[in-house]
Amino acid sequence: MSSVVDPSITVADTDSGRDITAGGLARILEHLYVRTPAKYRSVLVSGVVSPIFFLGLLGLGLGSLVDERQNGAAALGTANYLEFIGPGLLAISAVLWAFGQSLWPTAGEIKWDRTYLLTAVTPVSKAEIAVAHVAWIAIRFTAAAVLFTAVLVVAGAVASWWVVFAPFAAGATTLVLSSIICGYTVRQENEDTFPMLLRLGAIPMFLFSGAFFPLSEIPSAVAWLARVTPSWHGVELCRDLAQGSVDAGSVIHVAYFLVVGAIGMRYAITGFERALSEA
Amino acid sequence: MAVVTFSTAVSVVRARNLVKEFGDQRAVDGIDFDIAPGETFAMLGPNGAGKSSTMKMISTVSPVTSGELRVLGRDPSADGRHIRARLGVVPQEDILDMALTVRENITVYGRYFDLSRAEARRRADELLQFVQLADRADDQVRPLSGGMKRRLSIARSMVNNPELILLDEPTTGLDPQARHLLWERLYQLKRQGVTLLLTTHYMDEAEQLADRLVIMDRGRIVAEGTPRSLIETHCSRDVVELRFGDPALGTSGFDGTGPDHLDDEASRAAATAARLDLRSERLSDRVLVYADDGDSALAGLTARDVTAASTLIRRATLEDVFLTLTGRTLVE
Repeated sequence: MSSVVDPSITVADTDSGRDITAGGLARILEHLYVRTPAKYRSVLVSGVVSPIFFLGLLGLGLGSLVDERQNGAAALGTANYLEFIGPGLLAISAVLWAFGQSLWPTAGEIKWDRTYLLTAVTPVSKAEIAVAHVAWIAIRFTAAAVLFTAVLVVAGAVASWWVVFAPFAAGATTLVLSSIICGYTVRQENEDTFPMLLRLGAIPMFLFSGAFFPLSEIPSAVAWLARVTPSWHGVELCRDLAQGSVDAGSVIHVAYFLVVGAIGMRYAITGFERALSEA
Repeated sequence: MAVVTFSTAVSVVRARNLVKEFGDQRAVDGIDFDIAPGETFAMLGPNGAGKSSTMKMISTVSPVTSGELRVLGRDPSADGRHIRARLGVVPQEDILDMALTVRENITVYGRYFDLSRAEARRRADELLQFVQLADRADDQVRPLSGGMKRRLSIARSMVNNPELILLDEPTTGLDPQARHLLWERLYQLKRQGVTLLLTTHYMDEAEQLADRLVIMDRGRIVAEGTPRSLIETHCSRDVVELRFGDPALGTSGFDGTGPDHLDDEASRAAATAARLDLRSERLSDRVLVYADDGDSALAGLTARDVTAASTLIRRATLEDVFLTLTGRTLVE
C-alpha cells in the first residue's frame, strides 16, 4: 500500500501491442471458472440427462418405427435410426447451448452484472474479454459433449473410434454460433429481439439441420439455406465422426468452421469493444 | 518481461485540450490539467459535467476523441495494459461478484495482475483489515451494507498496489457515518502517498479530501485551484442566507409557486444588497448575500428593513464558488 512501483506487477513489453494473448485469456477464463454458478450441474444435465431423454424418446421410440419400415434405416445411410439421430442430437445440443448462453446470460453479463467493466480496467484487453466469454460458453459445452458422446457409445449409436473427436466438433459448433450471437447480443440496447431470434434462428436450426431427417426430404431451397448454417455443418461433421465416414466433405465442414468462426469472433470482439467502452 | 518503471518527476495524469465526443455530443470539451504524484485531485461538478467521461479516458477504457492524454507518462491508446497494471479503479456503482465471498472478490482481481494465489490472498486479508471488513472476509457480498460494499470496492481496487486510484463519486448514496469512515480511509491512503483522483458533486467531500480541484461544468473546466484559493478568488469569506418562506407553513419561497409578496421581499433584499455593494444570488428558496463580514452585512440589511423569516451566516463553500461561476447549484 504505497506509491512505489510494485515489483510483483509486471507486464511483458512484447504483449502490449497485441490484442489477444494466451495469458490474458487464461486470467479471464480462471475468473469465469470461479464465478460461474452451478457449472457442473448444467454440464451434467446437457451431457447426460438430456441425451438419455432424447435418445430414449427419439432414437429408440421413434427409431423403432423407422427401423421397422422396409429400407427405413438404409435410406438414411446408417445401420439404424439411433446411429443416424445420435450424433445429430449431439450437434443440435451444441446449437441450443449456444442460443441459451449467448442471448440473455450474455446481455446480463454486460448490462446487469457488469463485472466485465471491471475486468476491462485490469491489464487484459477487451478483445480478450470477448474471446474468453465466447470460449467459456464453448468449453462448458465441450465438457458436456464428452459425457454426451459417452452416452452415445453406451447406447450403441456409434460405429467408429473417430467419435473421440465428436465432442470437439460439437464444441466448435457452439463456438462459431456463440461468437455470432454474442456479437449480436452486445450490440442490442435491450432484449426485445431475443424471442424473435429464438423463433427465426434456433427453432429452424433445430428442425432443419438434418439431425432428424436428411435434408433431401425437404424443398431444395430450404435445404440450401440449411446448408449455410453452423447447425447443419455440426450435425454432418458429428455424424461423419460417429460413423467413421471421414472424407473430403468432413474437411469442408472444418474449413467452414474456421472461416465462419474467424468472422464471428471478429464480430464479437468489435461488439464487446464498443459495449465496454460506452458502458 | 520488462518491469515498468515510472519516473515521479512527471505528472501522473497530464491532459491537454482533451476532448470526448459521443456522436455529435461533446461530453468533454477541451480540458487541460495535471495531477502531481501523491496529490489528491478532485473533479467537482454536477451530473453531466464530463467528470465520468474524463475518468473513463484516464482508465484507458474509453478512447480519447482528440487532444493529448498521458497517464503515468504513457499514452492510453498505445499502452493501455501497462497503465491499467498500475491503476486502481473504483466505479460509481459497486460492481461486485455476488457469487463470490468478500475475500474472493479481491483475490480474483489479484490474479489479473499476475499475483500468485497465496499472494493475492495475503493482500486481500491485509486490505480487508485496512477497510475494516476483516470479520466479513468469508461472508457473501449480497447482505453487506452500501458503505461496506463501497469499502470492498476500494479494497479490491488496491490489490495491485496502484500508483493512481480513480474514485468515481465514492460516497454517493452513502449515509453520513459511512461517508466519514470512507473519507477517513481515503485520507489514510493519501498519507501513504497514493495519488487519488476523485469525482464528486459534493463540495464538502472535495473540501475534505482534495489538495487541488477543478470545477467542471458542461464538459469544460471553469475553475482550478485549492479549495481555499477557489473560495478566496471567486467568493467572499462569508455568506448571508436569507429565507423568506415560512418553514412552518411549508411555503417554499419565490419560485413561482409561493405567494407574490415573498417574491417582492426577495427582490427588495437583492436590491438592498446591491446598494450596500454586496453581490447576491437568488435561489428557488432563498437569497444569498456575499460579504467579507457576514455580521455587519446582515446588520446593514436589517437596518434597511429587510426582514427574512430566517437568516444564517456561514463561511463560503465550493458550492458558492460553483454558483458564482455558473449561476446554478451543484445538486439541482
